[in-house]
Amino acid sequence: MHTTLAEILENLNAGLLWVTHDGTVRFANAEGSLRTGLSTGGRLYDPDLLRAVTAAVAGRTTSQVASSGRPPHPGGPVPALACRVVPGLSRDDAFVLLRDQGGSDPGVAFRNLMQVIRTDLAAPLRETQATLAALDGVAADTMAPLLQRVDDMTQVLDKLVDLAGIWSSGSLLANDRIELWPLLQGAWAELQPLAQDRNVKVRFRSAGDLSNLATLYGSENWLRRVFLECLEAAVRDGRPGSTVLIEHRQLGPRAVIVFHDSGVFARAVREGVALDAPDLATATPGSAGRPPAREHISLQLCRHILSLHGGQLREEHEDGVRHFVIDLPTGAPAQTADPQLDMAQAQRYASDLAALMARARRQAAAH
Amino acid sequence: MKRVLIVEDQPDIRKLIRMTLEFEAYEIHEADDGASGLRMALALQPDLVLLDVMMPGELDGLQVCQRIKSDATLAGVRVVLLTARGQTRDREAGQRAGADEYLVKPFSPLQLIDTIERLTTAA
Repeated sequence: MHTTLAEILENLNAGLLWVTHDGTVRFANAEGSLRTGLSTGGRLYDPDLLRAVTAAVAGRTTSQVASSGRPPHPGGPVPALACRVVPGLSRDDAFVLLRDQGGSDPGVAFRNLMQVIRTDLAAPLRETQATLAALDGVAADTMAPLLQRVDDMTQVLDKLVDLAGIWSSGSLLANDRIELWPLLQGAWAELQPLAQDRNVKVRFRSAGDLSNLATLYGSENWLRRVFLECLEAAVRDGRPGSTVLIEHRQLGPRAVIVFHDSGVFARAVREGVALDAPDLATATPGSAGRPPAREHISLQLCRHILSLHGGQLREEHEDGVRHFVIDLPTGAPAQTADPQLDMAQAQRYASDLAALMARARRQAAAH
Repeated sequence: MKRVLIVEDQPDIRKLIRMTLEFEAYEIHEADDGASGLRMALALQPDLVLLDVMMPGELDGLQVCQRIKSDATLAGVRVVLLTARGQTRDREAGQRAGADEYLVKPFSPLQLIDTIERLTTAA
């Protein structure tokens, strides 16, 4: 294992077990060993936990399991553990994050995991994508299925790295002035080849003038990414020959973009990634028709980007029809009141005050 | 007396602008967002509008400026954009919107008064 990765895992506040699909421990940090008595080479003893690991490996889903730990001393009370099982870094492993039931900081381990993804996956992913681009067309017939699978995987990893990159930071946000319609049009232009392949059309509608919609402020790159992800999900979910209706509504100081009767992220939502949950939600393991990891990660990515812009994703139901909604504040975000700028402006006023008064006196004398 | 409309969402900045203008003889009006600023401009027919660029709501300063400049009934209204966004592309966006002047925050109150005087005298 990479020494940096070992260092990070060892220093998690939570106990951690890195296990293979059959529950064999690949790595346990000190806290994890202390709480469970397991170490490298040992095997999970709790059948519920083992099932959750199997599901995490097979379906790339996360889940919560209540388990029991090792007593602090022989004959002592058996501690109850809250275990969070998340897919691991390869296809056949998973992480089990352990803390006492009622632990108060469930986000630390996840944030550390995001750090690992950011630091260890980004560069190899870029190299793989470059290699794939170079291979494209070289062995088209024989290698096509394999290349397609690798390409799919790198796309998922790409989304994951982006998610990890933006997860813990609001500082990535720029303060661009963004015109909504050109942004939507640009994203749609990028998705058109996919839509043509799948024979899905998209129609945009707005009560106002589409070319003169309210402006947004924030990161043009990240918001473009949200529209790309949502449009892609809509196109992938659309039936061949169907048309996806996307409507823009300006509701006071908010722009609302509605994907009518669309399956955008529907499977991910159904599987338990609640749109209004504050953290990665648990997913039901073992169900048929599970959404691909791509959809889960896209949903999380979009949700996080929008929350950094003061917006949200939500579902609306109307006469049994499901609409998927992007809701964003328009104009300058409320938090742009900048105390430093206020202070700088006040200082400029103070430095000009004497001159302003002298000028006023001169003008009064002249009259 | 020249009529000046301040359109600025931040109360402290609005107050500082008002205090600055009160050194001169202006009739001062205030709005705290773009939509109400545009409504007041149509109603008041000010000589000059001091317009913040980044404001919450349906219309930001650039859009208000565009609408003022494209409205024949407001043909004589001068617009000064006040903004913390001082990059070249921001200034160019201000020019495209039709602004008569573009001041970057923190702006000099003396410069502000000189600018207003120049534009309203020339009008």
